[in-house]
Amino acid sequence: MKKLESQKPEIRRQKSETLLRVENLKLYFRTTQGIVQAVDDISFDLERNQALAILGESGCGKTSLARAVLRLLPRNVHSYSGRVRLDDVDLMPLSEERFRKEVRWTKISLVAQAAMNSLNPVLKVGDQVAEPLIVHYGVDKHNAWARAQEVVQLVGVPVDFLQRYAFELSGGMRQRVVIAMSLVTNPDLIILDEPTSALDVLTQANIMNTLKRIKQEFQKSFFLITHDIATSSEVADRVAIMYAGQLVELSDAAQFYPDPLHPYSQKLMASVPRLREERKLEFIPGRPPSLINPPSGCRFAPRCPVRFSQCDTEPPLIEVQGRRLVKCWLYR
Amino acid sequence: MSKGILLSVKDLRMHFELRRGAFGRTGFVRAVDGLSFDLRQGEAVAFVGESGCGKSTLAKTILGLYHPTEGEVLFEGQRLNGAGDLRWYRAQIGYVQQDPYGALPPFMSVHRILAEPLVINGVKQGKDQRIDEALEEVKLTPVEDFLSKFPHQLSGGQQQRLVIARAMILKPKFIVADEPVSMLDASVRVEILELLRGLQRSHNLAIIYITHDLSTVRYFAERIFVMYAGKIIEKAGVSELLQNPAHPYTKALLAAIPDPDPANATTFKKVPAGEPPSLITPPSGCRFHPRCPAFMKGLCDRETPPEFEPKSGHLVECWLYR
Amino acid sequence: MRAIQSGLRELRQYPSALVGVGIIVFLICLSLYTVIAIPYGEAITLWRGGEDIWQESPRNAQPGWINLFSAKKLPETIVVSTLRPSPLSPSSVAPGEGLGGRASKTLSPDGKAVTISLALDYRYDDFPSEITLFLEAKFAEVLPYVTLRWRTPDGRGISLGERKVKASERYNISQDTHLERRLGGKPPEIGLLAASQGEAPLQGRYELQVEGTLFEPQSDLDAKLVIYGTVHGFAGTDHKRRDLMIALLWGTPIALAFGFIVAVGTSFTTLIIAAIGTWYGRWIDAFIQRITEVNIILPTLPILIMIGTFYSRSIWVMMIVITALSIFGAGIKVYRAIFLQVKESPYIEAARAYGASNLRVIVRYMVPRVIPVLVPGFVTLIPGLVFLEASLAVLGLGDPVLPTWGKVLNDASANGALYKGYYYWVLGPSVLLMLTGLGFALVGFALDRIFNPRLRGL
Repeated sequence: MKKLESQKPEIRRQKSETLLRVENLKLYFRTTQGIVQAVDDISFDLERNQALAILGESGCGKTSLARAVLRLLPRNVHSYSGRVRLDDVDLMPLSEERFRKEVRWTKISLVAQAAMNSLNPVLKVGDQVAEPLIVHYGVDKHNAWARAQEVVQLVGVPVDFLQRYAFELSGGMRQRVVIAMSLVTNPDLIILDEPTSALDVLTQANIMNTLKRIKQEFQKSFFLITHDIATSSEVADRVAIMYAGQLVELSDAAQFYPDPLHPYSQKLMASVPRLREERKLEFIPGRPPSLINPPSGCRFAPRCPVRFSQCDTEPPLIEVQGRRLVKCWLYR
Repeated sequence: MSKGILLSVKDLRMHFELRRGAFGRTGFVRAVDGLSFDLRQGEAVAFVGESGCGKSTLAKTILGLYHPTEGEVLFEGQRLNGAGDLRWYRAQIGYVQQDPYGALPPFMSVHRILAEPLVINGVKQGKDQRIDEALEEVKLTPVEDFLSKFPHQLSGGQQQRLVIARAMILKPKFIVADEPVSMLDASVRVEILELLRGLQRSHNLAIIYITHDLSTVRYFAERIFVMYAGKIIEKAGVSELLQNPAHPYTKALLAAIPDPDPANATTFKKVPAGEPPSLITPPSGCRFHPRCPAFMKGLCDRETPPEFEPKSGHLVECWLYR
Repeated sequence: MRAIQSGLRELRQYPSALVGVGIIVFLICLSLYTVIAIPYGEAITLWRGGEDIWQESPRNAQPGWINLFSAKKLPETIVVSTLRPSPLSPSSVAPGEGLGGRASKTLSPDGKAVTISLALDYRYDDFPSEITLFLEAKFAEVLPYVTLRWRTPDGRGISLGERKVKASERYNISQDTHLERRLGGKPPEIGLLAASQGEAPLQGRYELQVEGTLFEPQSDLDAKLVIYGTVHGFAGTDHKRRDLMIALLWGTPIALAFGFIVAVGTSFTTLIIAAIGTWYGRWIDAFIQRITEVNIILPTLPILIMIGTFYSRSIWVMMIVITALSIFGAGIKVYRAIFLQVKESPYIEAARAYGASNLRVIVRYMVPRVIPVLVPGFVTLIPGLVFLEASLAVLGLGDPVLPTWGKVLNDASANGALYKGYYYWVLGPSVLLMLTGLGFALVGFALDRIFNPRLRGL
């Protein structure tokens, strides 16, 4: 890490507390069935050295949110609007070329979902870890490999694994390699999309330990996307709950886990099995609405146990207890 | 002893030949390496272990999809010998798989999917009635709305209910559920577990519940068998195992599983490093010894621990309890 | 099945596919029309009946539609006859254009004089290709005797000589070298119709007078004058005066049926064999794979040529051989790759767990999964087979009996059609072949686009 730090010292310090500010971000897709409102008017802040967990069930748009932030858009985009500010610089007006050079991987990197299974099978692991440095900073191969060696050690991969090919590594090791790839350019923000979901319990715990250490030692910000609520509590400082393309709750982790506010968050927490306490589990009847023509009003209302007449109109994000935001009329 | 025992597995071994090209085998994958246990009528047992510990192989061997290399499986005292006709047995056993969408033929309607096991097993009378019953049992109602649907028109939870209905259609005596909820969302997971539990109670079913997730087990099973590298290393009742885990591996497993608690973010988990061993060349002695924090040199790496019983009904394969 | 239905519904979103479907529908309608309008037996007679059937058709005539694009009106065939038109005459022969009048006068108890006037109105801007007079006489012993005289619209009379008439006499006026000499070296079909000045034919009423002297009371004389045009029908004619339309029309059902039957035969058999190999694995799979690999490198065309040369050129034999050679084709490899994935599907495992037999797993569980993949491949296979059949015919290995597109091309190439400027001879079958290829390819590619995203979900 030190080495790279000295390479670009001027952008290291004098930064605002807020690293990433997302305002009214929208991402709609066009499909044969209609327009999918995958990310619908989402705003949040992410501070330096903070980990924000985006929690939600499959199809709620959390991966689309990550892609919208990194502007990794599929071809069938219908509309993409809003603001993404990184260090108070609006990223939206940047050209694709500049975005790719100045933001993607240099400032924000991504550990994509199931990325461990998409490592290039014919390249040595070391080449793949060094690749972003060569592409983005033009570092020569020798130095890039030296840096790759540093980084893989940080994530707990033995240095000699760099000489191997992806298929010679276990799932856990591959996932560590993917995390190393996201760290190698020393970005400020790392987006982790389901980083442990395909892994075994022990491996998962080990990788979460590694992520925690990286966050502590190198002041990184994490944007963690997961459906696994228990695991998210391992690193999250702040928790955002997504439902049907919208943020329904944004709270500090310390407040959220013991006391979720939104009825959906509450139900979701009640469905998480606990190892250390006896508790009746609940489930949420029904299924989330389609993101094509979602219902007007509160999108959770059809499944909500405490719905009332006002739920027919869409609630705003209401500020509760200082730093908590809830999209529910109960808290008005 | 044999009273009420539905399934009895004795020293079961399932080794897969590793072949390279046309020139013979180069070794064996010892996916299941010497398992013995009994399953009582109406009992739910959870097999817990990480991927590659042999739990799915065990499930498929019990289902009769593999012919065991060694050992035997007795169902109601009758031996399943590999080659014979297993049709009598297949009607007694239901199979619930991990990925509900993959478990359903995408080109068949719900009715066809449920009719298939009946047709194959020669049930002709009251076929449609049985299909309706099965759908009602898994609460896919009103039945008429579902009969003509195709799997892709159902939600994940509904698909898994259909898989369960198919497992139940022949009125089996026991069910093998291989990670039945791991692909489902949290809010649906509980629903499916409750459904399975309910069916188990109302039909007095025996269930083998295979999972990597210890946290769901307490809601489901009476006994837990912990597997590691092709062996069962610990057997105990659910609350006994969760409160007093004996084997160092079980302890590590329990420690590794988080509950949603903000305190997690400030502490590091104490978990052994490393990965489960290769099943081709497993470690000598106790298979966990290379990762074990309580490793005793000269013993654990030499001798395979037998089953000790530190408490009645709590069996563990670990030299700590000799 | 559901996937196929929805796939076909999705076809509507591809304009190219709609064009393709239009072409295929057109070809099918054409086939149906052909089979109904010209029954097989009749078609074979027409195609193989010899020159007698085609007496009234010109040799190597251009298609009739050429007149639509040309300021110069090319002559069609004109038949003036005292005979009834032969039942096999194509309708394009318009007897109305000429009149066959006859008058007879008794000269003596035994003999009589018959005057036949074959008059026609010539309104074309070019000369005909040939002129032939057919004479038919009835007599017991003494042959009738005729004097022929040609009258032009400007009143000139040209003697065409005198001759005895046998029962069936064919006087090829165009090849009368005496006449040619008398006409100043111009071929008769030009000389007889030429204006006194200029290059163009003289338009107007021409008449051929046949003055016959018959020496028996029962004798009779009939005459038919055929002025062969240079255009004929919709497709023109070949060197044997055959109307190419017969081959073009009948080529369609033959080509489609050939392509369809072989495509069905190969793709389904290939699918089943691939499924069997994948399912049973081990030596069965290895065996099928080795056969396939050997078969893939076997050169299909030389084998077909050998069989055509030494054994039989029947379309059925070719069909069987082509099917046999393509069953173990590259398709096996493609399907195997898919089946290997399908075989591991949890739903197949479930089916085995509830006791499905091997046969049932293959037929009910594996094959239906791949049918959506098969459909586009099947559709794109058809034109390839149609081309293959045509290629064999072009190489002279076509079915000896059937009129096919390839046969027409073969005739054309054997007779140097392109050197001699008979482009239409090649054009017709080529356009139909290309149309077939285009139609099936457009549909096949669209189907591929529709079904392939689902492949990823396997």
